[in-house]
Amino acid sequence: MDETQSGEFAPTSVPRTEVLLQVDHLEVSFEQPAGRPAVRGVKDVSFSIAAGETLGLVGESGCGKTMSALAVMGLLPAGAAVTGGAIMWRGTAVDARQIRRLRGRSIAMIPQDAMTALNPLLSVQRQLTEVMKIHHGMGRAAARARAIELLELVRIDEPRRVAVQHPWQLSGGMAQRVVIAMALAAEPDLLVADEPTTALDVTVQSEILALLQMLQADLGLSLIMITHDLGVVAHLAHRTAVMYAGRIVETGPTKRLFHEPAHPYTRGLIASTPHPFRVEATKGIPGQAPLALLDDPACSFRSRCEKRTEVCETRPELKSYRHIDHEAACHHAG
Amino acid sequence: MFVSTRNETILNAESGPTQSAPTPGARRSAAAARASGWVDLSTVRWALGRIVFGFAAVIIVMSAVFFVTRSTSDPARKMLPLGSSQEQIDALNARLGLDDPLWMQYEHFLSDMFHLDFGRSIWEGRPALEVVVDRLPVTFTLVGLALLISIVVFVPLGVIASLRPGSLTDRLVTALSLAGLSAPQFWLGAMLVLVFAVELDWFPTSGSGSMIYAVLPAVTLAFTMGGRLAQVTRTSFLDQAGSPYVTMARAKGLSTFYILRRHVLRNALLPILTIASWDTARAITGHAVVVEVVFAWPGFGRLVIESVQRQDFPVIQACVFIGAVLIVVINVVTDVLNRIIEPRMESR
Repeated sequence: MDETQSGEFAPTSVPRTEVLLQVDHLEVSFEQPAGRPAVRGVKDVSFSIAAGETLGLVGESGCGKTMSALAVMGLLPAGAAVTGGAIMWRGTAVDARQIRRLRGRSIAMIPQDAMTALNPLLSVQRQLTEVMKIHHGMGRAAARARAIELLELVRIDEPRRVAVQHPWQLSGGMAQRVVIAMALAAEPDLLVADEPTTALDVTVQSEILALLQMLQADLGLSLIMITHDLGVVAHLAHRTAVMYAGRIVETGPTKRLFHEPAHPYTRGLIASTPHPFRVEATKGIPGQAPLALLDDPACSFRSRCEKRTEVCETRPELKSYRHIDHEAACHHAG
Repeated sequence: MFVSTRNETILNAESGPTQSAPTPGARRSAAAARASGWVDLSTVRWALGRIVFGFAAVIIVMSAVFFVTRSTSDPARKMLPLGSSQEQIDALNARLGLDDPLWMQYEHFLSDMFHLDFGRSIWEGRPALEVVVDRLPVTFTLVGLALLISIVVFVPLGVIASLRPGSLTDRLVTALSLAGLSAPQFWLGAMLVLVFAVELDWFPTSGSGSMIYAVLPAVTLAFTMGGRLAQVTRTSFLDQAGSPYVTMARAKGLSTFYILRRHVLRNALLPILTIASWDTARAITGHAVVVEVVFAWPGFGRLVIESVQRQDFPVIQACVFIGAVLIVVINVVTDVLNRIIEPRMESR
């Protein structure tokens, strides 16, 4: 985290005038082999995102953050399905078919591994222009010119040369920029970025993050940033939601959440983040994260929690902590 | 060539049929390279290498034929009446050049082959190669039609099956393609004749003439070729469907049909193309033999059977040669196509 270094930390929140996407009590279940009941991987997840806002969705692998995002995009893998809750786009509940129409045009995705997300056999240009042709009915020449513009926008040198290249000729960082350009091609309102920097070198990571931040500010996009890296969230997100075992355990303005973490898990996460200027070893969280699939009637974090008491055998609800929009699901918060 | 005389060899050497095979192939791959915008020397060199390799394969096959026939048969004894004297046999061997040392015979054999001289058909008296080449167009018609049916019917079936793995459609397609793949052609052909020629009288039972005669034999062949093709198509499309680039394409808001056509098809094409060409080669040199006999189709396959029955050695050897050349040519063409689709082939 940067707070000790620069004093400047997390963008100040934007006025939440227009809520773009609202997710209410989302539940995603996975089909099981014949006979066994389906299990829930995402439980009772609610969040919302306003125009121009960045929401960080943080958690360890398998906590359900990616599944929540895929559900929003209507891209859940075979065997997984939304089994509860509602997804609202600009105040209207949308079903799977309507989400499909929003996809690409209003909500775009930046995937985890740009290299494999690009079709190996098609040129960069083809993969960029098809989006514009489909969504805006652009002609070949106009789409081509726009593709070059987009490549310039994501700061690719020699966009004309790169446009005719194939993915295997790109470096990891370039591929990530191309994928971002692809996501921007249809001028969406909301970007869903799933660990967009995980597969990259540290230096490239910070370039991509700076790029995302710039694009987000310049184009007024909303951004859902899914990551396990608290540093990324601290940099970019206006608000942050921490997920654990398929549920949101704490949510609030990023600055507040980092300065006054209410949930022991959030505190543990912050303590286990390495810092280049802090010499002392990072402190991990003892134990292992439970599978999000397990249905636990108690607080899922209790086995790893220092504050654990008897009350932890019942599941805590998300409730406000010191401030109206800072919520935590812990009996011992506040 | 053990039944051709040395005089013929010399004559043919003088008239000099030229060896023109490598140039068209090389030109084709260079043109392909230019067409797809990545003309470079390595591609041309690679294509030449493939062709040289193909030549070597043909020579090895033909050498095997040479040594096997040399060590297992005694044509002079077979050609002369029973009870002929040893002098008569020796005289014929001398006339046929079979008394020369083996290496010399081999040398002549290779030289004849390079001049495309396989001697004269014992049965028809015409040059053996001519006899074989004359039969090729009818077989190409048959196999071409079968390939067309496979591509138009069975490849789409495989794609449809891959869309919902485990569904009823998928299981029906799998059952149909496995049945087609495993049904013996002589049986399948006979059944088709029984139903569509004898009972319904839509098509002639056998013979040749117009395209209508080609339908039943082509359908019989198509079941074998297409059955495998449908299976490979299904597997290949399923493989691709799980790739991140497909999820990304969906995230871009592209329709399923568009994704299949523009994104998945090209990626899934490699194995399909490989199997299709392999099946084509197999159909010409193998399956056509059975089907052509069942339907009295006067093609290459039936010639193989006829010449074996007639012990027409020059024709048999010419058949083997043509078969080997066809397989090599089909392989080279497939490799070139694969490289056009997948320019990374080399770097992989």
